[in-house]
Amino acid sequence: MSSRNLVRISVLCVLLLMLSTTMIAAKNKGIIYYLAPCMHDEVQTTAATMIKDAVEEAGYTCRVLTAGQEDASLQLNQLDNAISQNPKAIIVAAVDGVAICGGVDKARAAGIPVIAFDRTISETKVDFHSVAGCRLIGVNSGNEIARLLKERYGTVKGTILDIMGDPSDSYTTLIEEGFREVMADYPDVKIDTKIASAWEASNAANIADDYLTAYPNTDLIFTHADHLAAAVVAILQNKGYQKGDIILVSTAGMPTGLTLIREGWLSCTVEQPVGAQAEGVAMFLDDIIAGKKPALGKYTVNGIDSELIEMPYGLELRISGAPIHAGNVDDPVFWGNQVGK
Amino acid sequence: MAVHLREQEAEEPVLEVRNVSKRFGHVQALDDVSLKVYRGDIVGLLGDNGAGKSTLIKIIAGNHQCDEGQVFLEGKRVNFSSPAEARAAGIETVYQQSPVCTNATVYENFFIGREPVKSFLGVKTLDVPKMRDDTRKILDDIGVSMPSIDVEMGILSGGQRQAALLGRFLHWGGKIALLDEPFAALGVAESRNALKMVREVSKKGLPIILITHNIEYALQVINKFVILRHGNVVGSGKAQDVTMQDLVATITGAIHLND
Amino acid sequence: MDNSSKRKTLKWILDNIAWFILAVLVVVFSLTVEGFAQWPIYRNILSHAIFIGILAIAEALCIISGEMDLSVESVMALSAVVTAYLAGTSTDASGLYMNGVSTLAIVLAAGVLIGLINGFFVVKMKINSFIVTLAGYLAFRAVGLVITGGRGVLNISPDIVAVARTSIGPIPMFVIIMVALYGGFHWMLNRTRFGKYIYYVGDSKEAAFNAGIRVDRVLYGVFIIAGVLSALAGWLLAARTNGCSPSLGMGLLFEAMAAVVIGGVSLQGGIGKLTGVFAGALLLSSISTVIAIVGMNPFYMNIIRGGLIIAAVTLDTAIRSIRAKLT
Repeated sequence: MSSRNLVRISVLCVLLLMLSTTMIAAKNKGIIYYLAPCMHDEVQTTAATMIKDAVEEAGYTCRVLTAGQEDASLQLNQLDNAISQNPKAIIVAAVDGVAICGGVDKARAAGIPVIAFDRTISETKVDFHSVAGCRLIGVNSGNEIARLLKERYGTVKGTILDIMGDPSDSYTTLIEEGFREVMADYPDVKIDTKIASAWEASNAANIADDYLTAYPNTDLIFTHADHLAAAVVAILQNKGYQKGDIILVSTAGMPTGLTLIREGWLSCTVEQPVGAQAEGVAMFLDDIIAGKKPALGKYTVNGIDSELIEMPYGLELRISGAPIHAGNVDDPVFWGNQVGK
Repeated sequence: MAVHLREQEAEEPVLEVRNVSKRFGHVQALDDVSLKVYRGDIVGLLGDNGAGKSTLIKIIAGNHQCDEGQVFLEGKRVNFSSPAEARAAGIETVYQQSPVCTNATVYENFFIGREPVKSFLGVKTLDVPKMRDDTRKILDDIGVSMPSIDVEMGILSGGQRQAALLGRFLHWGGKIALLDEPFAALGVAESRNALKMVREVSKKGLPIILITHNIEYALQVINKFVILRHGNVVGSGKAQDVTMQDLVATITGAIHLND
Repeated sequence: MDNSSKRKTLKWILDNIAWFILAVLVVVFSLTVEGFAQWPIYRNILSHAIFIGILAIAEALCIISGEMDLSVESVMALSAVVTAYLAGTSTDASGLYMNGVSTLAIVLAAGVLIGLINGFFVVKMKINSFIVTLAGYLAFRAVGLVITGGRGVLNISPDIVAVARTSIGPIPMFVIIMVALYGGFHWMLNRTRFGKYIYYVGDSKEAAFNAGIRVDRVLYGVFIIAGVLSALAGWLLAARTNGCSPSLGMGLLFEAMAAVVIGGVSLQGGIGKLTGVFAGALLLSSISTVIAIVGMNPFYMNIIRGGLIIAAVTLDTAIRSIRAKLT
């Protein structure tokens, strides 16, 4: 390459770089970071897209950082880096709600509001929470499971294979907590809990395959996410089960889950309303950044009933995740119906 | 002597190195080196440490490429870019210093890089019985005893390992053999055995270049010598015409020997 | 001579130590765990081992050749995503509705390409294979996420799924495929020039080079085989789960590594047998199965796995020191 060409190309690169920075800077009211815990299922990828869209719709620039595979120390480093850029606000879906506290305090001390998304940060003060409440999802799932067992047997009894996600993820442990709380009232239900490490679908498939081989009369399988349910369905088909032979319940409301409901394999999935959660952040963003306190009380976010309450750790917008079943699966209010082609 | 010389000139050398030079950065490893090897020769390539012996051998064996000059094998110009090419052309090398594949058994080591295969429906499978039979036969021929041909090279003693390597080169022969310090790791009895093997091979007509520090051993087998010093040829000629003292004096730079 | 035959016996035991451990475990599980001692469970153990098993072949070849391939898991994930995307019928798929043969051809070709890329950086650019394939580990799964936009795909072409459902007699197709691969690659390692060269290169690249072996070609070959095997595993994984999800296959690299080490392959290169690796894969599979059917606190699962890493590494060290004494 001749030196003249080199110079031309360099100049062009510099111009492009300047252009892009001015575009970013010129666009809007400032930068907002979203720190995602990982990108390993449809909930996370959708959440990132929806937050970015909602925040940019509100007139800000959104930068998304992913903490690898749920790496808490990486997320703290990313939080430090974000603080150094002096953004208008930082939205964080914490890998570890306790480990993140030091970073949260640092950001708030620097005058940057912190918004907890999807996962509660309860050990320190945060400016705003937009959460579904994973425990609540577990409670709702438990109630649905009790209802489905009662419909089938007249009384709540049977054997449940409960397939959790990765135990290092509070999403699944909180669901488990809520689910167990409900099931404690039904002594005739036997629950076997297993772990699908890394939320990996073939792990769930193998567990279901082995468990159903040893206990073919299992009544219900509860998976903590829809992509695990999809793998379990593949096993049910392999083993020659018909739709409805074993009741299948799940959580998250991914497009995959909605498809399984339409096909009749999945009886119910309890939504994790990421779309509404993202919208909830955008709704109150200007107030939070301006330091104004929005009125407490009932709101409707994306068509879903929600409530803004004051918790010891700050304001919390609690959006209830609804059970989705064959009767309401096509309702456009569910995020699973809003994404995809 | 003149008659003898003319006889040789009539014959084409198996290997000719013509005006070869090689630099490594600022170091002139070889400077305008030439030598000829004819059928039946055992040429002693002598010299002190750093004289350029190994560099020359590595150029012939394809490990290095020369900067200037040419190498001819049976009159044809050659320019090897790897040991595999040199070997395919018929140049067999036994290195003392370089490592062996310690996880290969004795019989596998005999055939490394050119294992005999049986073809079955176009699929080539190693012909293990042939490898074992040939190995056993050759080891018997040269009078080497091994604990077993199924043991790995890594657990052989230095002498056994060297014997296995020499046996391998004896078997393959090719057009010319290069022996780099074959006696370095051997005891007295093992060295005597090795010298016998070198003579056996030479009798079959295979020319050999022998690199060694041990002039005493060299003089028992070589018929010609070439002495390198600081990358230059400082002496060459017929072994029968010189004494050990002359050779040592030339190697250390005290005198120049030329025929 | 007596000494040498004793040595041989000991070496044979070391090479196959995983089989002894496996036998003991299966007997203990069969006697103590309710519902374990039945053919369907043994069949599950065999067919569940296929993904760890295939990745372990790829990894074992790399490690025997003195290199490392950390990208196998992500290549598998990418291949599963591509298969599901091309052959899927749900809305998030490509809409091309491709069949089994053409998707298999595409992912295997991609496997060859990835092997060439890994080989190029290791052989030509002379970058440590650990670094090269670590980059691949991070990148290839992400390529899959980009293709589907991070969505899952459900319901793929029935001729692909059939592979996971078919049995020949009582033997599932997965088991037949896995056993055939182990048999084939065992034969390759022991009975072909290329196989032997993998061992020699792993022992000493310099010695192999001097002996006239084209070391570069051997390494390219090993990385290409690893790429193709990983891609095949991904295709089968899509068949198994009838689709794909972004985290598919995550964590299997560790399991494959564990199978390789438990199977007696030395991390130093040049030493190891696929028979041992096969036992290692079955060992891990039977432990997963017993965890799946026994009623216990699920959190123990990772403790058992952690213990297994320590055991595997200790075993490797112990075997190496015993081997050193043998020489």
